[in-house]
Amino acid sequence: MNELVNSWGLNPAIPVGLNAYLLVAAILFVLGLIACMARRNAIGILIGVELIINAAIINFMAFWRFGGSQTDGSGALVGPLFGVFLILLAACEAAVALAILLSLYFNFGTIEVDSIHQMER
Amino acid sequence: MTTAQLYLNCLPILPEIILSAVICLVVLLDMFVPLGRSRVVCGLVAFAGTIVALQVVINPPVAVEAALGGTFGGMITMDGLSQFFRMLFLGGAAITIVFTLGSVETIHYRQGEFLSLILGATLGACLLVASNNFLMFFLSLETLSLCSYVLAAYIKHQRLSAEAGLKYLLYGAVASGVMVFGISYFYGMTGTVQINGVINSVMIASSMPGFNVVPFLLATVLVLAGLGFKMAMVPFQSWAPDVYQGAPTPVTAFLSVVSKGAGFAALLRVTLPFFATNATVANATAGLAGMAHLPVLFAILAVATMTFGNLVALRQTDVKRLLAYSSIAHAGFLLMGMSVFQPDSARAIMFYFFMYFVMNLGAFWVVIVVINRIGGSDLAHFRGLAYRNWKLAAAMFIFLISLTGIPPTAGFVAKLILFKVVISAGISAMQGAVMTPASWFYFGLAIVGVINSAISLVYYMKIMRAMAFERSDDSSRLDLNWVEAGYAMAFAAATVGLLYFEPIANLVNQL
Repeated sequence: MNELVNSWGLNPAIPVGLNAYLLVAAILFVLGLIACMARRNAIGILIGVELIINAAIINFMAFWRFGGSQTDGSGALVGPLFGVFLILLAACEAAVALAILLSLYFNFGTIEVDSIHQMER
Repeated sequence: MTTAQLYLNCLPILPEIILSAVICLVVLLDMFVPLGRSRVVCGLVAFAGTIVALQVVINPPVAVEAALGGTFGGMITMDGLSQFFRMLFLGGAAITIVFTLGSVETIHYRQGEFLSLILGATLGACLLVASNNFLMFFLSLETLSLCSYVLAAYIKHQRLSAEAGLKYLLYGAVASGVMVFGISYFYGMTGTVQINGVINSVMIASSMPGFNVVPFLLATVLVLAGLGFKMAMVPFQSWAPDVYQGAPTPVTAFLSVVSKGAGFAALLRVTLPFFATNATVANATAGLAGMAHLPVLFAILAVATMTFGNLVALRQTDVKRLLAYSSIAHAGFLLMGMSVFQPDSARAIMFYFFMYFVMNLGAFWVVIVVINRIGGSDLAHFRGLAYRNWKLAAAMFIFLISLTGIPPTAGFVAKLILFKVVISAGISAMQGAVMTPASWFYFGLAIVGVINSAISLVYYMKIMRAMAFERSDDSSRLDLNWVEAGYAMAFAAATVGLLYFEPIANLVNQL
């Protein structure tokens, strides 16, 4: 692992550990969640969802890289596999979401979620 | 993988393969059949395909035991749980297709798209309950979700439908993102994404001294957010009323049985190993120290869900919205079974769900007929229904008392068996005739459940009163065609006929 860290030009004495990745992922997750709750624009909420999914991808890759489970046959590529599928899913979700938002815009003339409440509480 | 191995691996998922083929066929047919006939042609093809797939599930080409170890490297597993729920999902899809053909709400659109989306969502649900790997689990959950979002927003020119699609999409996207983040922690803690591997590691770790429960509980709550969204469990229920009200009614029926069922099937799938351990609040110390909080967690969620659903339902005036809150309350009853980790309680949940499936679909069919003939699902549209068409009103009456859980109906049997599991857990927690905290806990839970059933009678009674004791301005007779009347009668007969529940009990006992 030291060669890898060296090639990035970082200090080999202090390798980037698992905790750093987990911390970045956790921060990204919380930021995404805050975006989902605070944003009033539907696109903004969707960007928040993307942040949450990216946090999960970072977690998977970090756990895969630092975990000890790469050796067993079937689980050898779990981290990257999960990552690739999550990227795919995020794309699918964006496609469906934009289609629905388009239909929403035709109906309401806006995609601000606050101004869309047709049904009684 | 050789061809022979591939063939053997594919046999257990033959129903899903058939379903995928039918989806392609329906989409292609939709392009070549003229608009006027697309409704009937595509509907018949989709219905026939679903029935064939259902037939394959009932008579599997390989023995269930032979495939128990799992196929595709352990990604798919076939056991009693997956067989039972695949049957329900495929049956629900077939019934939804008939609902679609009988409803006027989607009549102006090409049916091929709509039907292929319903079949796609069913495909996701079937794979979800059979998956034994978190990657497969998440992918099939998303297949189900993405199709459902589009279905909810299907009526493009209607504001309500577009709003329903938006709410479903936003809540669903956040919930599934949160869930996959929780799965990543489970992967980190156990080093595997095989569901049984994860659960076994957690169970072994929890019996060791010095087990730190916090990360496990955190990851559990994150995953529960994703599943709780599908089940419409408090506090992840806020999408349900708006989506149920705004979506086309066949879609609402589909969401309230297949999508909710998929949530419960997935929850049972990830907690299935616990049901063999007899973990209750009472014997929490016996090797399962870390698991003591799970029954308590589910009991709290159950009480919150059923109480919230029932109390808010009291002041609803739209029947579709009222049924949405009623389905939230039923999710609470189903969750009550999760507070006892015994093989019996898993069976009671499945049994309850089967009964809920029949009576809820029946109630939604009556709503569809009323929307077709009277033009809305408001309480005002149900006024005087008993005088305008007594058959339809009688069927609705049966569904409503069944949803409440009053005796001569399926809902009563379902509630009886569920309460029996909870109360017997309380009795077995008693030491001699002395009450322990655990037995108080279970008796209290059962009492809350009974009180909630009583509350639910109030708002179901509201619909009954509107049908029988109020007069509408237009009191002309409603003439139904044979499909509308026959379907309502068939569901009503099934709701009463399921009092003879032995076949269902046998089916559930295969688990």
